[in-house]
Amino acid sequence: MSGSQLGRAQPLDRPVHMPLVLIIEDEEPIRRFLRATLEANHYRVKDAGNASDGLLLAVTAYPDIILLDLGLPDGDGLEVTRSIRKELHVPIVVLSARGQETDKVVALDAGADDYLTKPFGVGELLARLRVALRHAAQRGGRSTEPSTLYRSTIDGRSLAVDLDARLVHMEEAGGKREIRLTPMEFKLLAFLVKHAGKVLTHQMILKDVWGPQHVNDVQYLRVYAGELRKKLEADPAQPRFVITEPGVGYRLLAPDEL
Amino acid sequence: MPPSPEPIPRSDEILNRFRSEGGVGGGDAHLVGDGSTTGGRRGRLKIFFGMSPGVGKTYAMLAAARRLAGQGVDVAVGVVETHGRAETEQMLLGLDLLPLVEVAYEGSRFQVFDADAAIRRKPDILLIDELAHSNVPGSPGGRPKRWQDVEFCLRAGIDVYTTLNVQHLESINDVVRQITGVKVRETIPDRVFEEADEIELVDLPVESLHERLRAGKVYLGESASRAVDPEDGFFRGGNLAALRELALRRTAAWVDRQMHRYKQDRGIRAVWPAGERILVAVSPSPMSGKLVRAARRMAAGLHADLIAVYVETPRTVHLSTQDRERLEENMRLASALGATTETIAGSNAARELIGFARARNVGKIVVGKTARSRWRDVLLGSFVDTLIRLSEDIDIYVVRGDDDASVASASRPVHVPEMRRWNGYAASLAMVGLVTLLGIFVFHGFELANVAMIFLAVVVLAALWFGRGPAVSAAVAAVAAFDFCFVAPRWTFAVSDIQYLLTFAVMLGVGLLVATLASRAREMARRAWARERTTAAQFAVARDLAAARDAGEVASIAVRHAHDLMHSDAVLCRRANSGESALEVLAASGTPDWFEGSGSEPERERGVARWAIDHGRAAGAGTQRLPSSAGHYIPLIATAGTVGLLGVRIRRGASPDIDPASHDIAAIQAIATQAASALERVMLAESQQASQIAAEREKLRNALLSSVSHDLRTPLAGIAGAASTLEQAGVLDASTKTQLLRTIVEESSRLNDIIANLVFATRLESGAVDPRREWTTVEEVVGVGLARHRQALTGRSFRVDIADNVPMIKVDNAMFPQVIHNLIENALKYTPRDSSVGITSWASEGSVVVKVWDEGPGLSEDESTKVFERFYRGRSDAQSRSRTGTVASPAGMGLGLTICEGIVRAHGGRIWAEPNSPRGASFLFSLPIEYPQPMMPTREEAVSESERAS
Repeated sequence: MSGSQLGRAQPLDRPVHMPLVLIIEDEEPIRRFLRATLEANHYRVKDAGNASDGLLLAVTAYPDIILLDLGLPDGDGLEVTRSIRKELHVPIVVLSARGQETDKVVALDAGADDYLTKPFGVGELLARLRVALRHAAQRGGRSTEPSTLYRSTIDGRSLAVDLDARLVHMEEAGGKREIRLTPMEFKLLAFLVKHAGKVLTHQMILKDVWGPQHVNDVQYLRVYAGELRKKLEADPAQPRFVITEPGVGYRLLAPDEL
Repeated sequence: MPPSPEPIPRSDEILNRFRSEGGVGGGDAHLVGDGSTTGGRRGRLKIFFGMSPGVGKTYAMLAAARRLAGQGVDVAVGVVETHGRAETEQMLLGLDLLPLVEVAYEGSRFQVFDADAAIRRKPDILLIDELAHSNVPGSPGGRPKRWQDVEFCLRAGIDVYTTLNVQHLESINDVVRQITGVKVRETIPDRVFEEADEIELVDLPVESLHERLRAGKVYLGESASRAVDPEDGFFRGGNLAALRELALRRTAAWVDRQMHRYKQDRGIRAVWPAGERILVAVSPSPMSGKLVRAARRMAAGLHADLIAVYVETPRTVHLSTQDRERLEENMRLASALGATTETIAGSNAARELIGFARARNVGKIVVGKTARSRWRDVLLGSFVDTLIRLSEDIDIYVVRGDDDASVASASRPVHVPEMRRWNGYAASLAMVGLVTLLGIFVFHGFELANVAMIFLAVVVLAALWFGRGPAVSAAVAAVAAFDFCFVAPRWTFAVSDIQYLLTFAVMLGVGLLVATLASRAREMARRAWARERTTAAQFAVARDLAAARDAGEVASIAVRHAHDLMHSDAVLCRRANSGESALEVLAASGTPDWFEGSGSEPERERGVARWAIDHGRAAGAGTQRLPSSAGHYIPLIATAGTVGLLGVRIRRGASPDIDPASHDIAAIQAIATQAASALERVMLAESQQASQIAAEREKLRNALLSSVSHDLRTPLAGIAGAASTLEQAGVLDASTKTQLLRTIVEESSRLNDIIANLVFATRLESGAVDPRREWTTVEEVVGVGLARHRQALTGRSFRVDIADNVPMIKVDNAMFPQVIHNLIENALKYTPRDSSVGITSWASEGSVVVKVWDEGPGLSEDESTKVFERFYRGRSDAQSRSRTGTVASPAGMGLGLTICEGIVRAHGGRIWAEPNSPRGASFLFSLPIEYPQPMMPTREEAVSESERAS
């Protein structure tokens, strides 16, 4: 298969404003709904109803992003993820049902960039696509330097992080104040900011923030996520910025510009 | 929030970091990760620790390294001794091998490890094999020992994996030499081992190691010729078993210390198992209290367990009331000081103590110094001397303070067993000889009748001291000597006066009678003592069995006691569920190969056991049936039939004390009887529980089937209706459209909730609830549980209160938040919108409790118990209940609370409802606090950028 060459030879004359989404999903109604929604939101869409068509389109159609259902009739979604990942760097967002937390983690480990739990709303879908596309663009070096500034607003509170200056601020009705973090809390927040909006598994976070020998010390993460929430959230029991993905990991609220 | 550990000063760490960076000289060393200020740490040391060469430490280390390398960790191999073994060489493939440096020494060239190069390379993890290795003089860095190289790398912030054999630890060098006869020259300071961040014990049973040795899979170096013989050399079974124990103990001690440090950090007071055990010998002496206290101090210093033991011997069975009271007081004191107290029985106090100590892995015995006169020690043997002579690897501590009470004096019968046989005969004949000589030279003027009396006295003494046989021989010899030496005509066996024949007859008769009586008295004393011993054992068994909760526990308790009693391997099994003739071993002591192994002999033993269990009669050694087998098998017969089988291996000839037909069998029988009823008790409880669960499942299955049909259809009907109305878009105004669309979205999400609950219910029903438990915080679980209620909660009075001291819990993060979700849903559903709802959590008495409360109408007493029943729906649902099948419940089938109960139970917790004060209802669940709690990261100080700059 010459896919790897195809994958690397990115054509340069594609229209950049309308990203191409490849949907690999066996359920016709879901495909129809996704196509309608995405086209209405200025995406170009190609779809495939099974794994083999999907793989073929993935390497021939140069999609900008792939939406992949984990339960395909002719192949394990995980296998598809691995096959695509072997050839291409295109972002993959996995669609899965609730109760498949282990599968989600495995898919993320296999190279998927994010996931959506069925049933999902349109807002959620579009947000995931934007985040995945943006991170892919930064990774591919096709946009400017990855931003070291993060700003996100929810419920009238704005969290602003400047990674270079190592400054964290919270703006709310009462005014703007600096938030003091311990070095480890900052390191954790920095890693989340770098992947803002994208799900990060426990292992990814632990490996990056505490080092590879701590990949199984989930309790570290729990403690620090808790500390971070105490400092950032209005109500730590109902977090809005540092969001738990149960059984999978954490996600930082996507930045305002997305 | 779980309590955080005490802040640990980090300044010295930071200092170290600067030092090490200075030493390396690389300007890039401090750029850790993204440049935040967390680095500069000392590297972590992980030791793969084993009992001897050949257990597979290097292999284990490489396997771990490969795993990490596979995860993208930067692993580099500093030095690994593969000894040319293909298996190990293969593990190196694909790993980054650092180049070795060539060094010349005494005409030879050596490839050696270069720590400086390794530090320049700066991998995440560096592998350095054989920590105890000595460097060739002239090696780079000039450090004589490899452990110094390792420390150097650690200081540079590199994590190091290394391997170590137990014999290389400095402090146990002596012990190892005693065990193996080999003096180990390459040692490392214990400190290096103690300070390791992680120890992985690479363990291998002795037999497996022997197999590897035979297969030539172990590199033995220069010592090959003398070490290779598994029967005789360094790798002798006994050596390896001892080294293995040492390795296990050192690892356990290391873990204990970690635990101790952790406990101190977190202020945990519960008693945790420790590695070392100290035994103190208690007596009725008033000084024994002092002794117990001294032992307690010692145990506290060593973080060891203390066992207080009183040895009952035939001589001490009948203590005075005063002595018995004092003994009880001493034992109570020991118990109050945290010691485990045991009473053991045996003929020789010292021997029993040592035997007991070995059985319980005791490393140190504390005894009192006796205040007995020297001549008694010389004549009768000292208790302490005997103890020391028998102690071998156990340390004996003699502490001032105990006078010679029963423990020590009990050492006297030590001579009896040996003298009973031939020495007894010799001694009684010697006594007769002595009396004869005395008679000839001292008492020659005496009446012959008086001389005869002296002979009779000798016979009586012989009977008392040596038993029946020697007494009979003394009687015969006495008659012969009396006739030969004293009765006229002297120096012949002829008798002139016929009346002496009567004297002879009376002498012989009296001698025999006395001998019989004396030996019977001895036998009775022995039996009384044996009974005591059996009773004590029975009592101990009964006490332990009463606390047993499952068949496995019952079995291991019975086996342990049988083992202690017989000093021999024991096994407890029952009929396996699969296959009619198979036996399932529930517990076994010692080396169970004699019963469980393969081969014809264990097969035969199992055959005998099956016979015994099938026929409900004892079989094997010591019985009429199949007496040639190794084990004695007693069926465990309870009211409902045979529930299992207890087997004890009879060690023939190992000790004259163990006679398969003796009282020991009776004691084993007693254990078997108690084990049988205990086993029946737990098995009944288990089966009762199983049938209850089965009935519950059946109920749930039926209810599920009937509800799925109508409860799922309701939201579906709403969606379908709204959607089909929307299809005729022309006739609808905008606000109706919005309303219909909202109906679709809301009903879909309700459908989704119902399905989620159904999935859980089905999993609970099928018993497929196997929580994937991870450490997490209550906040985290509450946060996820509330996430899908955010809409509903806005505008309501709601608060969450989690106490600071709530420790971490270990739950399935995908499953457990459903409990909070359902409880909150329940609270929101049955209370008016303007009332308060909240969650409170605290820790109490070993549990974490979470309470979801509301201030709604509350529950009636009857309801409090009923709410967790499946498909029970609250009052606001009364209407739908009365019209079942026509209107669906708003509760989505009333499954919610049942699912909460199922999930909480699957996590070993409890859930219940109680009234909330001042009004409303509250639902509470508790989870047991899990120990040990996970290791926590070091607490740091928060700093703002401005402070950092200044």
